[in-house]
Amino acid sequence: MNPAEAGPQVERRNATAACVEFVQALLERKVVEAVLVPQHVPGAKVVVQTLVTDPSRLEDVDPVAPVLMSNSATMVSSLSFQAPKGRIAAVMRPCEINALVELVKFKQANLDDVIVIGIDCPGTYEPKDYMQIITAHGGPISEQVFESLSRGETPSFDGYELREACRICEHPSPANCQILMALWGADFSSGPVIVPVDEKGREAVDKAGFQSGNLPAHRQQILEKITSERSARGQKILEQFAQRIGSIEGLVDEFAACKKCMNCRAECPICYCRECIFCSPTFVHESNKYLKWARQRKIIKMPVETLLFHLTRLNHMVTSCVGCGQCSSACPNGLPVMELFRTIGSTVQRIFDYVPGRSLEEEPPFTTFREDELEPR
Amino acid sequence: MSDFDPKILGFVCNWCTYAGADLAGTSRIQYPPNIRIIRLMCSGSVDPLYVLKSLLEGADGVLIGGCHPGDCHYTNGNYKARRRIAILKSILRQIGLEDERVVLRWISASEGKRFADTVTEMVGKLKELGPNPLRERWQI
Ligand code: SF4
Ligand code: SF4
Ligand code: FES
Repeated sequence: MNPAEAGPQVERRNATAACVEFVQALLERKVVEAVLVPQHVPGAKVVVQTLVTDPSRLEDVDPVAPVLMSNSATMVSSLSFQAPKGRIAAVMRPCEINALVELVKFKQANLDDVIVIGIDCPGTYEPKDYMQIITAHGGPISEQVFESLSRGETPSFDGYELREACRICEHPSPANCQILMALWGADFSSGPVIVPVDEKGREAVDKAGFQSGNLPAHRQQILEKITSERSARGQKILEQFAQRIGSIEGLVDEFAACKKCMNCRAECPICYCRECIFCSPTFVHESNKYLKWARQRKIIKMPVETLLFHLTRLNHMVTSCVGCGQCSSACPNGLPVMELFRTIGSTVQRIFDYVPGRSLEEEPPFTTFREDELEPR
Repeated sequence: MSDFDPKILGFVCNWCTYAGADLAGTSRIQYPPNIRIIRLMCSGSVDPLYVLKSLLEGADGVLIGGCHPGDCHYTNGNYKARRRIAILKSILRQIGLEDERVVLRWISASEGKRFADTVTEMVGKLKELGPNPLRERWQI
């Protein structure tokens, strides 16, 4: 039997070994009570987040796997908003941490007892592509991914592209974490480098009995190269998209296939409202309303209010969109939701010089105001 | 275009613009009858959703009326409204809808004339712009 069919056998070599040993030590030495970490599901060819308390249950940990089934900021929010009794450590990608920073500012997460372990990110594949890649490859591909990163290159697997959100992502390396797991430029034979970023991180690394590693000398250069390539692509893609939606006709055509299933919203880490107004009775219309609308316009699209849904969501949260692309990945009709939010977001965020995820101190535009601003209107 | 009669929806604050509109009426100041008014307790309670819903249903223009800076009965609702409307207008511009269709104006309870002038000015501008193009799109 082909090993992929038997389920992934994570070969503990360079890429994952150091990560596993480190989180294992955090649990064994009781630095934290639990870790949130991505693991392969044996036999299923997917990688999901797991919350682990037993250090022996880390067999299939693989945070290097280039796939992101959902943005874990939402999970850290669930785990921390009521200040749990017990510390947790969470291994997170840059876009997940950026989203978490926004959620903290919206009081949906509390980092007092959370240690964020940020991991360098090469980008991720759509889950269905990832499954095909590891099937073709006969098992997990984290070694290959790490090898590319150590050379400073984006991994590539024949015939597959990273998700567009990742191809235009300007954050190959995490900010706002307590501990960094550096992969870009790291020496392939010695594995990822573990570096504490702040006091809390230093304390955890010490208690775990680990030595703080040294960041590779050419790391900065690699990050600059990757960031500038991706932001150049982003600029091009988003400019083209701005043209496409720059007229009512264009926007309407782009989203004609939207059926308002709201999967995009469900997967968005920033959309934290427990009762979205679009799920509330406000949008349960009297049966007669539909006929009235149809009479007025002669013809209406069903379900109604698909464009209203997107425009409202833009108004409500685009200031904090981190560009993780989970919305586009979640859309059953392949609509360019991430492109819409990043295009509009870049302009709106610029009005307030706000960069989502940049800092825990900067107030999100909607939570504050200045008396002398935005005049004349 | 001359027979185009713009429809305007007004979301106005109970403490200022609503009273201003009332004053315009009781003082018999003439202004075009193109506006329908919805009273809210504060300009800060205008969810951009209301403005969007109006535009998507074919309103040609939307007025949001609030208290002058410093005068909001809830201290800062109008400053919050100003941010929300700035964002809304930026979004409208980016999707090719004229942002002049949406007007946020500070009109106090004593400014009946300012209310009438605002409506007159909006009607003039909307006649220039023509009907809301969204009215013709059923695929929305
Ligand atoms: S996931 Fe796609 S189809 Fe569903 S509401 Fe979002 S854009 Fe529309
Ligand atoms: S709108 Fe899309 S890209 Fe932006 S934060 Fe939400 S899921 Fe991520
Ligand atoms: S009370 Fe009038 S704008 Fe707030």
